[in-house]
Amino acid sequence: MDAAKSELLQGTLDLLILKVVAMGPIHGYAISKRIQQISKDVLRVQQGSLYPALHRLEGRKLLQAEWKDADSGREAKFYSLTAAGRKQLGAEESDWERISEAIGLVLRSCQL
Amino acid sequence: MGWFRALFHRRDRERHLDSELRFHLDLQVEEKISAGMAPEQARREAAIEFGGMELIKEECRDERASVWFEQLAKDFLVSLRSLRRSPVFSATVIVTLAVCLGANISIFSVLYGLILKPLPFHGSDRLVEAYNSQDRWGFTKLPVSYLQYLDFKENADDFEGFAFWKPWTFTIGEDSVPTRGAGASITSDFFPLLDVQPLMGRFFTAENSMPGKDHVVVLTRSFWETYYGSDPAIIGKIVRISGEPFTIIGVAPAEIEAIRADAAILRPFVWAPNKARPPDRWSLTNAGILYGQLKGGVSLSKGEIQLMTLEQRFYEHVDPEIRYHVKESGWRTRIGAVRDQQTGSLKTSLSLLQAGVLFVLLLGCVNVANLMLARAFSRRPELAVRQALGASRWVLARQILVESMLLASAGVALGLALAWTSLRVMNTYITRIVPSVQEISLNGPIVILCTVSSLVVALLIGLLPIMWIWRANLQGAIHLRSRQSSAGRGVRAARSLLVTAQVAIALVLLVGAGLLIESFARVLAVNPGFNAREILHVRVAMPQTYLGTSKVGSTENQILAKMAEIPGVESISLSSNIPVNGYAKTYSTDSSTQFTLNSYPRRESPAGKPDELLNAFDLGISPEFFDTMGIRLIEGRKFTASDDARSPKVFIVDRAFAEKYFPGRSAVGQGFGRGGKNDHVIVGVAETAALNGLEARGGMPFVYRPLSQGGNWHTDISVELRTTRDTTDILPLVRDKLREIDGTLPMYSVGTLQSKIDTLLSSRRGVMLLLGTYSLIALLLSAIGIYGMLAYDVALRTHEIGVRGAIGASRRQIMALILREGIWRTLNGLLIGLAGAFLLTRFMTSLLFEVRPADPMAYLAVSILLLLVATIAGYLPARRAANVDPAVALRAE
Repeated sequence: MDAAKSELLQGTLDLLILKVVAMGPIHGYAISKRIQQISKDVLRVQQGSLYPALHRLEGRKLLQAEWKDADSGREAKFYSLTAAGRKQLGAEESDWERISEAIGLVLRSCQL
Repeated sequence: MGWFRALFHRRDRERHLDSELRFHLDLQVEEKISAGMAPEQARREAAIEFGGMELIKEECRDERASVWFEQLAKDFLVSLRSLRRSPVFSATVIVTLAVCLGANISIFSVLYGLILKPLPFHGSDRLVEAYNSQDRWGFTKLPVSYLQYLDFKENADDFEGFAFWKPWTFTIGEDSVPTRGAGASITSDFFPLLDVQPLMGRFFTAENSMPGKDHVVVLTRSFWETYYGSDPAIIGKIVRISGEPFTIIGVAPAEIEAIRADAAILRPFVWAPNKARPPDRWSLTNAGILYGQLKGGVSLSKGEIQLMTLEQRFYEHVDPEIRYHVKESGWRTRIGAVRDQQTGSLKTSLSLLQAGVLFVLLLGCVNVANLMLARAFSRRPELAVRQALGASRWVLARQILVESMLLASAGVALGLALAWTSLRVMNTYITRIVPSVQEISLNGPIVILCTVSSLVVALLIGLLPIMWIWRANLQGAIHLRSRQSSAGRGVRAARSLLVTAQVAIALVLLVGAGLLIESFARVLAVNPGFNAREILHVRVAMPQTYLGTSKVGSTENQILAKMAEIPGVESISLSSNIPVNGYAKTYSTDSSTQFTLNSYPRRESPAGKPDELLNAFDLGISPEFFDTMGIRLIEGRKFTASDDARSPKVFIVDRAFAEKYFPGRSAVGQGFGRGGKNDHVIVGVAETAALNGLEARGGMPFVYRPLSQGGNWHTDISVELRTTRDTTDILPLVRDKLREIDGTLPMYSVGTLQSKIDTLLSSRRGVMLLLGTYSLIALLLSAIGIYGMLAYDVALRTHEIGVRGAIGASRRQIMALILREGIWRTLNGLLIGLAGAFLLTRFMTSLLFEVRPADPMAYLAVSILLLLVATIAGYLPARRAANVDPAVALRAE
C-alpha cells in the first residue's frame, strides 16, 4: 500500500484534516499521527503535503489557528474549525459518501 | 485600525511558520529517541524524513498567496456586480473622476511641454537668448543686430559661444505651386552651440557665410518629411528657392525644432566684413535673434552685465546724438533663458488654468468621497447582514477598497482618453498663439505620474467609508434602519463641511472666469476703426529678381487693376504690411509681415538739443487704403496718384500720433527732419484704427506713407479687397487673377481682417473658454454636492419631518426648513469664497482688460448665480421632504 501513503488526492487530504480537526484543537504533528493511527498505518501524511494544506485551509478561513502550550510545555500552533469549516466538512463528508457509494455500486455491479 | 496593522504582519507570519515546522520536527526526534534511537541518529533520520524545510515553507507561502489571489478575483467579481447594480452611482463617480483627471492631465501636459520640459540640448539650462530693450519707449524686446553678435562673440568670455538667427521667408516650388515658407539665415556656429549632429549630410561651415558660397541649405526634419516625403537621396539636390538655386547639403535632427518649430529651411547668414557699418548696430539693420550659451557657473545676471559693459564700450565712441537717444530710450541688452523667451508669456495663463483644474479636481474628489460615504451608509443593512453571516470587517473593507480602485481605474482610463482628445484641440490653439513651439503630446512619465497619483487619491477616498465601517456598529443597522446613528451624525457633519468648501472653491473659479469673460466682452466692444468683416486680405510675395526694379511697381499696379475687375469687389488697396498684426510689447523679428517701428525726427527741435524722435509704426499704403478699410480721415487730404517717387515726401498720421506729439494744434503742415524744407510733410490726420489688435489700445501710433515713395524694395505686398461676398466664393477668382498677372507669385496669409483680429484674440479666448468650462464643471459639482447632502439629510430626518407634518407644519414650512439648510451652507461657502477670490484674483491682473481684479459686478453676478444654482439643487430634496406622508414616516420606524 505504498502508493496510497503518498498519493492522497488533495481534496481527500483536506477532508481528512477537517475531520480530524473537528474533534478539537490540535497541532500539525498530532494531526499526522492521528490520521496514521486511525487509518491503522495505511495513510501517512507527509509534512510536505500536510503544512501547505493546513495553510491553504487557514487562508480560506476553514480553519483558524491559535498558539498555546502543548503537553510538552512548548508553544504550538493549534488548529480548530471555523463555522465555515464545519459547514464545508459537512458538505464534503456527504459528497464523499455519495461518491464512494456510487463507486462501490459500480464495482459491485461489475463483479456480477 | 487593526486591518492596517495586518499588512505588516509578514515578519510575524514567517517566524510562526518556522516555529510550527520546527515543533513538528522536534516531536519526531523525541519520538525516535523514546523508541530507543541515539539522539544524534534520531535527529538525522527525522531530518531526512521531514524533507526540505525551506521547500515546505515555500509551498505554505504559495498556498496563502493563491488563496489571496482567489479572493481578490472573487472580490473583483463581487465589486463589479455590485457596481453594475447601481449604474447611476458608478457612472457619476467615473465621469466625475474622468473629467477632473482629464482636465488636469491635459493642462499639466501643456504646462510641462511649454514651460517645465527642458530643451533637448546638452547644457540647455545655460542656453540663453539675448535681446535689446528700450524700456522708456515701451519696447521690452527688440532684436539684436549682427554687429552686436560679432562684438559679443569676440569679447564676451562669460559665454561658451553665440549664434545668430535671422528669420527669413522664402518661396519654393515657383514652377508648380508657389508656396511661402518660413526659415532662417543662421551663422554656422548655431549647430555646434546646440551640440547637434546632422541627421543626413552635413551642416554649414564659416566659409558658407561668405557671399558666393552661401547658396546651400539645411532642411529641418519636419520639412524634409512633409515636403520631400523623406526622400533619402535629397542630399546634393539643387532646388530653386525664391528664384535662386540652392544646394541641399544636410537635414537637421528634430531637436533643433524645439528652438523654433516654424522654421523649415536654414541657410547661411551672409555678411561682408567691409560692409559692416557701425550705425547698423544702433539702427538694428540686419537684426535677428541671438542665441548664446553661458559658461558653467555663470549666472544670468553676470552674463547680462558683461554684455551691457560691451554695449557701453561701443556707445562711448559714437555720435553724441546717438548716445543721447540711447540714454533717452533706456537702451539695454538683456538675456533670458530660451524656454522663458519662447513661452514665458503663457506662464501666467497656464498657471492660472492649472490652479483652476486642481480646484476642480479637489471638488470632484470631495463629491466622490461624499458619494462613497452615502453609498456605504445606505448599504449598512447589507453590510450588517454580511457581517452577521461571518464576513469580517477586514473582508468588507477589502471589498470596498476593490470597488473604489475599480471605479478609479475606469475614471483614470476615461480621463486619459479625455486628455488625449482635449490636447488635440488645444494644440491647434497653442500653435496659433506661439507658432514657434512644437506640438504637445501625452508624455509617458506624466501619464504614469498622473495615473499613480490618481490611484492614490482613489485609495484615500476609498479609505473614508472603510474607516467609517470599521468604527460603525453595523449590527445596530439591522434593527434601526432609519434612526440616526452616531456614525450617521459624524458623516453628516463631515458632508456639510465638504459642501461649504465646495461652494467656496466653485466661487473662486467662477469669479476668475467671470473676470475673464468681462474682459473679453470689453475687448470685443472695442471698435477697430475699420470694416474688418468685409475686407479680405491676401499677401503676395514678389520674386527676388524683381526687387529694386520697376517690375515691383508695375506688378502692384496690375494687381490693383486686375483684381478690381472681380465681380463683387467694391474697393481694393495695397499696403506694405498685413494691416492687422500682433505687436503687444515685444518686437517680432519676422519683419516681412509685422509692422516696423520708425523714429521720425521732429523738425522744430529747440536749438542746441538733439532731435526729438517721434516713434510710430510705419505703414506704406496705396491711395485707396482709407476708402477700402473704411478709416475716416479727420483732417487734411488723402494720398493721390501724384504722390510718387519724384514728388515731395508726404505722410498721414493717425489721431493718436497727432494728439501725442502735436497736442492742441493741427498736425497737418508739420513735418519731419531738420532744415525746414518743404519735404516730409504731414498732409492728413486719419482716425485711429486698431491695426495691432483690439487689446493694443494706447499702444504705438501709426504713420502712413505712400507705397509709391518707398522705392521698389517690397519683398511682399498685402492686398485688401472690400467685398460682401463669401471668402470661399471669391478666393478662386483672386487666385485666377494673380495667375494671369504672373504665374510665379505665391499668395499666402489669406483671410478676412476679422479672422486676423480673432487670431490675435485666440490666447485670450482659449484661456477664457477653458477657465469658463472649468468653473461650470465646478458649479455643477457643487450643485451635485448640495443636492446629495440635502437628499441624504431628508432621508435621515424622515421621522422628524413626519412628526412636524403630524403636528401641523405646512408643506411650505417643511420645504423652507430643508432649503434653509442648503442656503445656509451656500452662504457660508460664499463668504469664504469671496474672501479667497479677493486674495487670489490679483494674480491674474495681467490677463484682464480694463477690468479690476476686485470688480464688484463680477463678484455680485457670480454670487447670485451660485445662490440660484444652490436653491435649484436644494429644491428637489425639499419637495421630497414636503411630500413625506406623516403616517408613513412614523410607521417606518
